[in-house]
This record gives sequence, C-alpha cells and structure tokens, in this order.
Amino acid sequence: MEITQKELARIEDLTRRYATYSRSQAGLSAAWGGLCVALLGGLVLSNDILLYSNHLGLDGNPGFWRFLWKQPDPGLAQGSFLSSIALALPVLWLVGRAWIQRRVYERHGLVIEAQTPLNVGIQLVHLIAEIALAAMLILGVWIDLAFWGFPAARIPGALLSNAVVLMLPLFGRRMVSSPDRNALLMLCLGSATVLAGGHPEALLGEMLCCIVLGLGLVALGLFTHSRFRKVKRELDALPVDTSGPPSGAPTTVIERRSFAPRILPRDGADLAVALAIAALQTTWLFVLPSFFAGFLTHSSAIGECTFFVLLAVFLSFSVEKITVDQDGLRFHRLFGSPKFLAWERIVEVKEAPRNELIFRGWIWPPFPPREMTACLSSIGHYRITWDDGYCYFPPADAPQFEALVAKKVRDTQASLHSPATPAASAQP
Amino acid sequence: MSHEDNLIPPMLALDRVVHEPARLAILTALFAAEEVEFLFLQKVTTLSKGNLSSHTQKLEAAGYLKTTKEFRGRIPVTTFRITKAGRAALETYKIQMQKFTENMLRSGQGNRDQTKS
Repeated sequence: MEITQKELARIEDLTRRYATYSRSQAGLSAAWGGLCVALLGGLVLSNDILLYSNHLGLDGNPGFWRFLWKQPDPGLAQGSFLSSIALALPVLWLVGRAWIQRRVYERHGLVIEAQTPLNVGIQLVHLIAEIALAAMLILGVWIDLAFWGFPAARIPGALLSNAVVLMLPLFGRRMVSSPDRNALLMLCLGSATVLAGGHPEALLGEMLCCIVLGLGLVALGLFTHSRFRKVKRELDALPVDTSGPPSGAPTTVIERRSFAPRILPRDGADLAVALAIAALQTTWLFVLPSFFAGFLTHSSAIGECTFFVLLAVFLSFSVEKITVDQDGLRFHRLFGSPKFLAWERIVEVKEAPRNELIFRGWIWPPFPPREMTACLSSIGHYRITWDDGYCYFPPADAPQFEALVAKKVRDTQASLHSPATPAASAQP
Repeated sequence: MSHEDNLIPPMLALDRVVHEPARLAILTALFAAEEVEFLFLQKVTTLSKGNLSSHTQKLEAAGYLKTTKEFRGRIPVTTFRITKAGRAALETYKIQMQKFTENMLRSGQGNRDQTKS
C-alpha cells in the first residue's frame, strides 16, 4: 500500500468533518427540534389568538383554528390536547434525535470529535446565542405583561419563568455541545410552561420567540445537513478494499442483476398466516395512530386522512427490488435513495424459517425497518444480516437469488476470515 | 561525505511502526478525533477488515492506540483512541519526514550544481 501526503490530508480532513456531527454540528436533529419548538409555539399562539378574539366578542375566527380548537383553552393545563402535545414533544424529539444520530450521522460508525480551540470557540458562540435567547424570552414575557397592564397576579409567575429562562445557558453548558441543546432547552421550557398552566395570553411573546427561533433551527439544521451530505458523498466514493481471497479459496464473480420481491401467497395456509399478521400490523401501524389522531382532533376526517397517509408512506418507502452487482446489494424503493450494502458488510444471507420471519421480522420490532416489503407470503424469505442490522427479503426468483447472493456472501466471508489474507498483506 | 550520505541517518531514525503506510493512515485518522469506531476507520483508510485488525494490533502493541471492545445490543463494537505516545510519535514522524524531504530537495539541487560546474 502506497500513501501520499495528499491522501493523509484527505483522511484527516474527512475524519475531522465527519466527527463534528457527534458534538458541534447538529444537522437534522436540530431541524427536527426546531420543528417541534415551532409546532408548540404555533399551537399555543393559535389558541391565544382564538381566545383573544372570543374575549373581544369577535366572530372572525379563521376556519382552521376553529377546526383545531373546538373550544379555546383558557387555562392551558386543563386542555388535554395541548397538554398531551406539550408532554409528548420533548420525548418525541429525544427519540427522534437518537434515531437520526444512529441512522444518519453514525451510518459509517461513531467518531467522537476532539476538543480543539475552534470547538471551544463554537461552544462560546452557542453560549452567547443562548444568552440572547434568554434575553428575548424574558423580554417577551414583560411585553405580554405590559399589554395586559401588569396585573399583580401574574408578576410572581413571570418572575419564576424569568428565573428558569436565565438558568438556560447554565444548563446548556453541561450538555452536549451542539445546536441540539438549544432545541431541547427551548422545548422543555415551552412544555414546562404549558404544563404548569396559567393563562396562555401571558405566553404570547414567548411563543412568538419559539416560532422564530424554531424556524431558525430548522434552517440551521438543514444547512448543516447539506454539508454532511457532502462528507457522506466523499465517504461513499472511497474504494472498498476487495483484495482477492487467498489462493485456493472459492470466489464468485457476478453480473448486475435485479430481484423483485414476491407479493402473492403460495397456498391457502400461507395466505391465512399472512392475512392474520397483516391485520395485526395494520391495526398497530395504521389504525391505532389514525384513531389517536381522530380522538385528539375530535375529527373523523383527520383520522381517515391519517390512515391513508400512513398507508401511502408505507407503500412508497417499501422495497420494490434489490439490485445485485460486483460491489454489493442495493435496496430500491419508490422514494428515498437506494440503501447500499457492500459485500464486506454482509455477514450472512440465509433462508429464514416461517416462525423466525413471523416473530423476528413481522411482529417484533413493531416498526418495520427501512427494507420492508409489501409481501403476502410467509415462505421463501431470506434473512440478510449485515454488521449493524438485518432484514428479510422474499425474492420472486429464490433459486437464482440463492445461487448468486448467498454464495457470494459465503465466499466473501470465507476470504475475510481466512488467516492467510491479513497475514500476507499486513506485513510492513 | 556526499549529500546522499547525509540522508541515510535521518531515514534510519524514522519510527518503523509509524512509517508503514496503512498504520500511518490509521494514526492520522485517530489523530483527527477523540474516538473512532472500527467501521469508520475501515471506510476512511480503505483497508480490509483483516488488514485493519492486524495493523491496529501492532499499533496497540507499540502503545500508540487503545482499543475498547463492547457490545451494543448484540453487535460487537470496537473503538480506537490514540494515546499520548501515539500522538507524539506521529508528530515526531511528520517533523522527521519534513526535514528529510527538505534535505532531499537540497541534495538534488547540490547534485545539479555539481553537474553544471
């Protein structure tokens, strides 16, 4: 192996840029946080406006708000809809953030950023931003109070809220250094304020700030994510070491070929099993969320729309075919980029028994993976296991799939685990 | 003593553990971060799994990196971290190589001057 100064610089630069998404850059998780913050702010604000227009005796309520709020909520803690949202959003954000980090920014493995003077400088910028945010939120509360003529009953609540806001930069310093913490803190603050109850009109300024800053976080998150995409493109373009297997070891050379999934059941029993599982999955994945959406909004139309949207999302993102070539496997879907698995990453491709498919593929985990297929057969599924996950795929042409893919994986694994390969090529 | 003779001692003084291209690539990647997982290291250095394992073992034996093995769910995850000795070795190597390159360029210039005269 030869290496030039330019290649070393490339390795260092790529590692450094990739590592920033573990600490100082946030990307999509900041955008997701900003969206949650803006949503919370928007909901409280719409409630405020409706409440204020009712208070003035105006009947100019826009249709959407009237639809959203059948009855404006004068004490936020009493409103089940807003309270549920306020309670669920920080949890949803944290779950979403963990998922985004794992699936997007740690796709090629976790790399933790080193603390450099630049990094410390970025943290300082964040601290200043948080102080500015705290100042804006405090100002917002006092503008509200001025609007309502500084009612004495609200002064203690406002002071308490100010104290919480002032602690924001202090808490922020102890958390992971990235714009994520701004999102989390704003979200927690907004949710805590809503759950603590009180009169929503006092939160008008705060919620306006939430919307503005939330949208700012969305823009920042999307911008930083676009830079990550460049890093990912550079990483994906790197060659994969396919050093040949040791002499005597089996090898398989394969041409590019596509495999469509089998959709139809094979016999009556197969259809019965597939329908029973499909009913269970439909209830869990589509019916329950739709029912929940309808219940929260008091609207059956919203519930029905949710059902069809979820179904459309499922079908649009399910795998429509697998392409196999000399480099690896590619999962193709109607929407979303094809997922690529290099042969070196694939640990095993093996036909899965029906029991395993039902319990490990269909029932648990309850949310199907990205590589799901809309298949009505429980026979002839292959389990594809790679270094950090697995999925099941039912090729329509199973014998050909077995002959090409399973054999190639076995050969690749044999060459990787052969003691001759590293020893022969790792000598200095 | 000729210019070429001056190049031999610095060449011999180079750390052979760091001088190997694959190990140099590994140390360079680890130098740029606090902690790096096997998967990323394999990707960025474009080494095969077997080669990477072999070279990291040699670096660990030299005390230049520290390996941590853990299970994340059911998946084994190997993480590497450069040690202070590794960091110092890489920095020293870079300085030595820079001096060596400069000497080589000077030597080339000297030879050309001698040929002209």
